[in-house]
Amino acid sequence: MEPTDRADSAQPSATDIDRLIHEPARLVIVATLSVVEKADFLFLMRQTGLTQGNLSSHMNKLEAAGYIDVEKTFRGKRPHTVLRLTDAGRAAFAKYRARMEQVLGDLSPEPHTEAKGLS
Amino acid sequence: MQSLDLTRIEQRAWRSYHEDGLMDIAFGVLLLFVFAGSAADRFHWVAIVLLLLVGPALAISKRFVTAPRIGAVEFGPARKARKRSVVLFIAALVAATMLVPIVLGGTEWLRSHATFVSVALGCWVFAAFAAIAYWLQLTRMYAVGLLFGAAFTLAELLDTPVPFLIAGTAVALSGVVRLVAFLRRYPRPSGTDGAY
Repeated sequence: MEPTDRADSAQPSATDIDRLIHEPARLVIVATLSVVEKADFLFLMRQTGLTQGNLSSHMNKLEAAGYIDVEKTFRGKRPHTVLRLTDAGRAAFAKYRARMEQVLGDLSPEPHTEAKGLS
Repeated sequence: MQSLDLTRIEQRAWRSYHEDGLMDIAFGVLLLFVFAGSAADRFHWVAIVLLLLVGPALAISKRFVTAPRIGAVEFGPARKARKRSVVLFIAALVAATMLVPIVLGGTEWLRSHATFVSVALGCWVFAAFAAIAYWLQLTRMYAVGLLFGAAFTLAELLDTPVPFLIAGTAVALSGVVRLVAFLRRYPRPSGTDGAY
């Protein structure tokens, strides 16, 4: 049984977080797109440090989820891809951030820190 | 893994777009044209025309040098508002400078207070660059403004255009150094790399 089934639905749970955004590479992509209007593929490659294949793969997953809008054109003979975070993507990222703050904020102090405090 | 501070991510993206040194080269060349215009009377009008071409040349260089290497980006409304603030501040500064001679008593007053006017001119020029540095978050523009301000003040005080030559060369050379570093750091993608 999933831990979420046992948890109180009103309480945030670590398993409630959006796994599509939670993946580190996609998180960096979404975070970068959240602070600009739009950016092309090369700019995202430079900013995120991801390889072409990696970025392309994550871009497809985010596009399939409706989180980003991908516009493909040609500049001369070279393909040119522009990415933009959709409203749904912005909402999902805002929800993800809020949920992460809740979940991490509710974490109890590390056990060894507590032990030090007691001794 | 890189930091996920969104403000830092936005600033890093913004600064990476301006680390090509092209703006510094444009400002340096601008000052060199001022020197050329002041030094050679016959070159006066040509220098003015060339001054007007620096802006478009910078935009074209950005398109053909910067964008193919680090990609293209459109920043958000907050960044656009900062750009508007710079334009409004400089417009207000120009308007105020036009009014000052009229309020203070015209060109006669300006001639009789040459030292004050020279220093004020330098401060005015520095203020314009400080606005660029502050609102566009490009801290090196404070240094460029200092060189520009000093050049204008000294050129007026010493009655020679040589400070324009020195400051213009220094600013343009610093831009060239930045540009070389930028070109090495971001080579133009070969083949289909980055052209997804």
